[in-house]
Amino acid sequence: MGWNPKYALLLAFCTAVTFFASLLLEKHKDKANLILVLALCVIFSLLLYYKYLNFLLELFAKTLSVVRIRFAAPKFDIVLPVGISFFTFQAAGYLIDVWRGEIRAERNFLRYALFVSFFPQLVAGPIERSRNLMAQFEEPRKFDFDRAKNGFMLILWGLFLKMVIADRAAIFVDAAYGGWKNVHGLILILATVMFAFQIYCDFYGYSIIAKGAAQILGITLMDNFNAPYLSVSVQEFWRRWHISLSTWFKDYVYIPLGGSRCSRPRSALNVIAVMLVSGAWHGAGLNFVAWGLFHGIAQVAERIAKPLLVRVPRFIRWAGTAFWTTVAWVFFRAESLKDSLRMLKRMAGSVKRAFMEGDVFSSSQLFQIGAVSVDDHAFELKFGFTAKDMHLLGFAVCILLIADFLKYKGISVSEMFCKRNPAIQVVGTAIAITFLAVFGIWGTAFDAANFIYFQF
Amino acid sequence: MGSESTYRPFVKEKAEYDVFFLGSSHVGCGIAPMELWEAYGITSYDFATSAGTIPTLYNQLRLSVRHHKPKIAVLDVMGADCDVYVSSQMDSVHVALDYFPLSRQKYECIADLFPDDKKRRIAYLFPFTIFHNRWVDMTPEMIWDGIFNVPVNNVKGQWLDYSLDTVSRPANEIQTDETLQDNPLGMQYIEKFITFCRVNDIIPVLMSIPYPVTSISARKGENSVQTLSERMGVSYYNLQGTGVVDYATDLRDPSSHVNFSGARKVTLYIGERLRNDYGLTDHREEDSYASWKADSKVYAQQLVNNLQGQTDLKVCLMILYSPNFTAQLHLREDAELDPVEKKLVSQLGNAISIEEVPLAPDVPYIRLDIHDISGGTDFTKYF
Repeated sequence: MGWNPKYALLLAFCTAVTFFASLLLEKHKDKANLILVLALCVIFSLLLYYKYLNFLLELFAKTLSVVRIRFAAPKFDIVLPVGISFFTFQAAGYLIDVWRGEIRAERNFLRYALFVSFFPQLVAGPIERSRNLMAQFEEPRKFDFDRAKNGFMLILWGLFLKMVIADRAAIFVDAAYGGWKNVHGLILILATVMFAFQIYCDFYGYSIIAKGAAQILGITLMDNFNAPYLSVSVQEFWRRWHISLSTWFKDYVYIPLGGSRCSRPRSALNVIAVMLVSGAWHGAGLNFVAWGLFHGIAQVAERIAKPLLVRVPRFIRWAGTAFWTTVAWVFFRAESLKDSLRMLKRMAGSVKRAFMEGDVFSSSQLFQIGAVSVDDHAFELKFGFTAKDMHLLGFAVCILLIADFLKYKGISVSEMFCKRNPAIQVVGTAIAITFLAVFGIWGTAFDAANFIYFQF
Repeated sequence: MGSESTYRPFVKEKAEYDVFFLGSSHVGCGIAPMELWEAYGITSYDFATSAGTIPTLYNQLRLSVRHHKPKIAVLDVMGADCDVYVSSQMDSVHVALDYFPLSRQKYECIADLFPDDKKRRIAYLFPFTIFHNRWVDMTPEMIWDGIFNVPVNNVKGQWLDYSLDTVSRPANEIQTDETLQDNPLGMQYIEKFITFCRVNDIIPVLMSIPYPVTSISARKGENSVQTLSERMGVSYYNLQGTGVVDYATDLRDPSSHVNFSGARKVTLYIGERLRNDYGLTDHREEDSYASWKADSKVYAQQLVNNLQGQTDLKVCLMILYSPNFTAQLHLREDAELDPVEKKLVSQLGNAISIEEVPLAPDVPYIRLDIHDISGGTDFTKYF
């Protein structure tokens, strides 16, 4: 992943291509389709090159090997420019909106460039729509203390998610997944559950920080997450997870393919196609495609089984959704499709043995692997994770779930806090900052600035 | 002990210091400022850093003179042959530097020690970035002590310990007349130390605390320091091979650090040289040094308390190598001292008398009557 300033040229190129293409679209309506296709080909070819070339060559070689043709795929040392997936999609979305006639092409290059490169959301979203973001640039913004205060609270919340939960969970997850061949299946299950929170808090944390930073500047970005782990179906999960991306795919891929306004089989294929592309968007690897497929299959199954599912108690539906999305994370986190399948097999085997050999519902079972418990120094040495880290993580996740539950019910905690007595706000903020300073994973031993989604 | 525990007493001291001793753990173990005070009335402080490199010690001097400026700075030159800025023992570097407050000079010192590593500089300029995660290791007792009961080094930086190692045998020492061929950082910073002292009106002195030298590079380093000291007109007190310490009785660990008795010998030797060469004043009767007199009483009481708690005859005999005690050793006729114990007894001279006691059922094997001269108390130990 590259932070090299020369990649700003790439951003500038993408901006220029889509800016001029949008003007041409309006000027030459008879050639609009051609202009759109050409422009999208140009910007997506860059994405294809930087992100997928090596993967596609490898895939090509593997396909040929199936028919016994040997092809040594060349490997190129290509550094992925940070944020390329995000700004490419954002620019493409704008161009398609102009082509559809939903918005007018922006005449001011600088304002358009600002839309594409707006720094809070440039590197990891949310993928904004021009009608939301660009419209805000047209009006001058005055500094508003309350809005800035709210923005600062959002940044603190985002830092809590990132530094206290995500980066802490990452220590254990990286150790477990990194050495998974020597790790018990139950530990891998624990690591997968922790990864579910790691990726959520890492990505949500970034989005909230971006939203908070933009808010200080007087710009409102869209919500990118809305309590996804409280979903009772995979379909609902995708309405609450990475909302900007899922709505982008819905508006620019799913609906153009026909959406649900076609036959059931075709509609199901559309869902699968979108989820496959979504998976591929997340990473150049078959495991990411598998992750997308896993979600796609679940969504199709839910549609088919809808009449039955509505009778299932809400808690069971929630548990099933949580289980399915957690299992899917194995594909996302593993290094390859093969590894993910083997890890799932290891986990399944350990669960089966736990049922046959002991009380799987004993809380100590999860932490007693042979003679090693989470309080053991050996556990700490192997995973770099202490019992206190586990307790703190559990506490922090509880806070997250409470906040998400309140959000699910339509209650904004930050707004509630900002309406409190100023003295309480000051003390609360000081406590929050102190909490982050002491319990956050930061410092010269860590690089907290690296967010998982920067690599997409 | 941490940085604050070690250097807060130094910073808070109201009286002036005559001497700073800078060096590695060998200085921490081998120089006893309270013994120097009691024998010569010279005030001093140990700036001892575990595995401390000479660049680290040089920068520590730069930071410490902002608080007190000594008349003499004595640098132990172990590590003259080393070519690294800092030791791999990062925690000891933190102990050496963390207590000194953030300032432009501290930034310069840290930048000097980490010329190519900006990330590490942050860790030393803002130690909280490293230590904020220590909550994982802390217990309620530690938190309580950290707020209300911070331990301090009350022996002027010395690593006071009563260990005695008679088991490990120091390896044969290497001898050579050769000097170092290149000019490693250790040698460069000895020169910087000398220059810094002279610019700041501090007398620079170099020394080598005795330990069995088994590295030819270290021995060459000492020879190079000898040459440098002659070239720059600086005193070099090289105690190596002088017989000041006896490795059979005066070591405390297999790493060949000197023990309590060895430290006393080294300190008295250095103290006499400094007094004779530089005419240091005896402050023992000066009112402005009343705190040192009080500290001396505390130190004496510490020795008594430790002696009373000891169960090892050798350690007791080692601690008795202090002007604060006289003793009578009663040996039952079947009791015999081993060679180390005999040596420890002989170095006490007239401070100990030996009596042979006839064998009888109620007579202890060995009885040691100790008289504490400073406190006026007597107590007896049985072995």
